[in-house]
Amino acid sequence: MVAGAGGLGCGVLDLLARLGVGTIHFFEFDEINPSDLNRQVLYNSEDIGASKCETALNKLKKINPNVNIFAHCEKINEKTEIPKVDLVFDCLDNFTSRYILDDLIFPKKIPMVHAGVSTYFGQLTVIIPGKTECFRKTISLNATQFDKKISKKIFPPLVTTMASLQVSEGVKYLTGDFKNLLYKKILVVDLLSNSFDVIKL
Amino acid sequence: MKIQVKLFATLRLKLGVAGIEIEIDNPVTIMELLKLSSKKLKFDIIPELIEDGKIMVGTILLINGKNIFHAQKLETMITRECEVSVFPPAGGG
Repeated sequence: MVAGAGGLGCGVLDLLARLGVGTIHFFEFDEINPSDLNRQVLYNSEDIGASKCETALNKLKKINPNVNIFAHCEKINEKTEIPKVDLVFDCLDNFTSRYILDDLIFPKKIPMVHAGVSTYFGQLTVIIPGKTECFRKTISLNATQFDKKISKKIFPPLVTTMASLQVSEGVKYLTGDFKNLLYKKILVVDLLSNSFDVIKL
Repeated sequence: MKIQVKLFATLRLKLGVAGIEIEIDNPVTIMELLKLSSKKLKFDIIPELIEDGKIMVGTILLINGKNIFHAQKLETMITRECEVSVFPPAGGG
């Protein structure tokens, strides 16, 4: 399941469809704006004003008609029914929603590949119930206050880099490669100085 | 004992360094370590990380990967050689 079909979500969905992941559910409620087009790879200029959810669904079906894709055109909230899935990709754009998602999936023992992006910087970690803390405890902050400060400025190559890394970790999880999986550690990416640091958690 | 202080993302950009090493003889709180770091960096990092005596929203401080938010926050003691990571998470998607 992919939560959000913005910058990260488009990149993740595109790769998952091309890889032929059997069934994909995704959640997105927004419309396509001109400022999205520099990094949200499933949309183009003729899609401006259209629903991201429906546009992404149509695009993904063309990319790989053999994948079962379910579009949920809604914002994730406390009452959202999470479909039965093996893995969730956190491609949301704020911590309030991320904590809600975490509260919904961690008790159900569904793992999550988290990524966040801002300007030239991003972080990524894999949350696995039973092996790691939940997301809320892994990256703890005052979400309400933090979300007011989130920069809308994002270097587009960072988004595609982070989305690729998310799918890379997702594939490792789905194939059972726990040796190389980025859990109990967090990767901090800095495209400005070309540094990729792993912090043990 | 030697404490490695590692800075990430916007902090690294602002201060122009990826990290510093602080030598201490006795245990210190994380707040005291930040003051020692400021002295060594010749740049007061406290206003970048602390607001009204609390860790600034959007700043994560880890001692060997453990978030001080779940310990004694700025009063968390550093009693042995360790790595302190100062990390402002990115929120967008």
